[in-house]
Amino acid sequence: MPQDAIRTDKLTKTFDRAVAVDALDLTVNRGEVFGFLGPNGAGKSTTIRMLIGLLRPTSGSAVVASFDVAKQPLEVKRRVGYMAENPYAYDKLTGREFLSFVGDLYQVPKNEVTERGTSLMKLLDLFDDADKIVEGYSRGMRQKLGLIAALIHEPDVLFLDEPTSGLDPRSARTVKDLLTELAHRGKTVFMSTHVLEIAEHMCDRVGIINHGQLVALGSLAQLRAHGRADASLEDIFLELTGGEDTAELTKFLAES
Amino acid sequence: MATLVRWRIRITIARYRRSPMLFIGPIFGIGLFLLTLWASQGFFRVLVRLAPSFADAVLLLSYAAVGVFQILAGFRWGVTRLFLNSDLELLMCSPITRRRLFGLKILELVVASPISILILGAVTWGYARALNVVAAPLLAIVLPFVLATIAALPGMLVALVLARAMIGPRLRALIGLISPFLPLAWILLFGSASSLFGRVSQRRFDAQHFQRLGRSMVAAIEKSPTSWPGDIVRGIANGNWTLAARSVALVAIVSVALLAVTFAVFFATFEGSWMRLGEASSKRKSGTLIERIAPPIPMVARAIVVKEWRGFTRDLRLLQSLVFPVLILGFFTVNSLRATGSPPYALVFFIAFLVSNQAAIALLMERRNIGFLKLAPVRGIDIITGKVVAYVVPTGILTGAAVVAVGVVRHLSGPIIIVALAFMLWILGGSMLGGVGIAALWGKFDLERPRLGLGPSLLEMVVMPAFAATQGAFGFWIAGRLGENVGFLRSPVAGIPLLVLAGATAFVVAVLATSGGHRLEMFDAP
Repeated sequence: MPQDAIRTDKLTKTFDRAVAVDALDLTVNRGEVFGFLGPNGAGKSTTIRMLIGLLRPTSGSAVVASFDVAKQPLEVKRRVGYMAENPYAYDKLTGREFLSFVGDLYQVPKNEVTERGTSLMKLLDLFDDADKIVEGYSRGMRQKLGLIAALIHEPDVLFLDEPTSGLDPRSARTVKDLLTELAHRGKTVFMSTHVLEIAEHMCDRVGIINHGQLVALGSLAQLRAHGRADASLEDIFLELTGGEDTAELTKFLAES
Repeated sequence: MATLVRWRIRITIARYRRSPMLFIGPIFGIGLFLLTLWASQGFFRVLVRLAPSFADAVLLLSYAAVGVFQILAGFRWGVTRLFLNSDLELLMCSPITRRRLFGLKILELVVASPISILILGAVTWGYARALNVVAAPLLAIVLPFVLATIAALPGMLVALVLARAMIGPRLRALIGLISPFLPLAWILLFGSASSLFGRVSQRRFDAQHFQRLGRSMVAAIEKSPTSWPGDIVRGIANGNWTLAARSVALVAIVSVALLAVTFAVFFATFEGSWMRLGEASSKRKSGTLIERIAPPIPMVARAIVVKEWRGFTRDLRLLQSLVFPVLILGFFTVNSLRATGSPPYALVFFIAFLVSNQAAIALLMERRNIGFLKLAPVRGIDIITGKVVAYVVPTGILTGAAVVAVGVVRHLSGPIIIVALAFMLWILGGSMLGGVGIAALWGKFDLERPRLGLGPSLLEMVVMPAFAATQGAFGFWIAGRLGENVGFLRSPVAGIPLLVLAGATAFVVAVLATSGGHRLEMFDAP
């Protein structure tokens, strides 16, 4: 596998006349934990959905795990795992049945699904609820199930949309450790998050997208080099994406 | 309260704007009302003159039939509006008294019953006009409104009591199970009513017989609440004010009593029931039986079959959607066999349309999960195959058994039964394949009601019955070659054109399915 796990070339997506992602050029290395940041509606989810084949790019191209997303979609999908912010699930299946279904879709041998599913469910404290109907799962349990489903076929590249959203602190910590360990084993983790603390501590590099355009790309040290040396990722993010004006906020609070 | 009602109206208007298909219901209802209003006056004038007791019975039966419908609807709306609607969480968090909440829900219940109220209004209007009651318009508004509402209250009471004992998913399943019977009840009611209308308008009925019948019907249920509207109208018409006043008092007492009981039960149970609705379903074993009996088809399609079948065992709505067309087919087949000695061949058009919808709706019921299927290295045609097989096998077993039973009853030969069975399964599979193909090509996956997201229904109404008819005709031709008496289709020269036609429609179905599969791979998932 080449060094690049993900490479986009002028990747663009427009909805009607609105440009959601504007000529995105991005490279993510193999074994990297990459944080994809941006304000709401900046184009993060649209980019991820194009990279995993849920949306067709309007123009440009993307290569994931060495395969062109548009030309070889099935090859890409075999090597990619995805967990949406609001994970996919079938309410009428039990957690265990859902994983078995996912395993069949990815044509993973049954015994591997059972073995991997069991260990991941134990790791994420979901094992005791494995035989409950998904309909009764809490948001956090669905999140865990979504993550396990994304990992069941051992993908080379993992796309995660807000991976710790809805998780209790202990589970969030487990997920963070798990993702770091996966990256050490050569898997690529591409995650979008609003929790800048996670991005700051976990990601090797971050990309900040605003209005569909990549406005910053690099490690935290590289980003700091362009501004204050003691700036946090939050400072850098707010500066690049036009953060809250303190004066306006004070005025609002005074008036109210 | 006024704010709540205003917002409820705004939300409803917004919903209608978003899905113009929803207008079909109100347009149908208004059309039906105008038609009934127009027909009702003339109908009752004739009936009151020829068989007055039967006219009384018709009014009584109308209230009885709508009353039964309202009890079911009250249960359905009680469950959905009081417990399952997504607005409940917002309303429960807001500083709204439970009394106002109950008031709002009762109002929604009334608004939810326009067809019942309009139909009763038209019938009451016709009856009162025929008896020359001056206050006919007032009676036609007030009586249906009050009686339809109080008839719905027992249903609502049952909903409140059941919600105390059942968790949300079970209630949802129960609602799904009874929902299709509501339109069916309307169809049967209108079927019977239109046949009676026709006979009365053409005076093709024995007035004396109906007069006797009406008298016995009125006598049988004269003390029931459904007789009160008739008593009020007749009391006013005949100047029998005691009868009218007594009936009005009874309506008022029962209305207040039912409202009070429902409100008391609501107040005592609602909060607790609503809070435990979200409780998880009980633990269940992740069984392997379904996995073992699933047909040996490619792994991905088989996974979809297993998923769907697991749904059948846990979601009564899915099971009902599967069994419903077969029940209709069985009912009409038995009726037709009794009346004419032959199966209802014309029904094949209806069944082809209905059956072709089953797997298509199942595909659209994936909603946003279609994105999940698209994520996997899965071909669109595998998804389509999975959906079709999931529905063809159980439906095929049920209808196959019916075909064999009909064949045995009619003493058909073994080869004929085998040909009939093969063609029936072929038509079933092809209809479903075409239906799923159309849904995959044009369907919408982001609608609350998947049925409204189906592709062009007109295409489905034309292509699927055409497919069924041409395949069926070719099947009959083969049966003719085997010695069965099949009329003109027995001609040896008919075989080639029939084969060409059957081949052409099968080709269209194949094109729809493969194009649908392609679209599933290419479209932007919601």
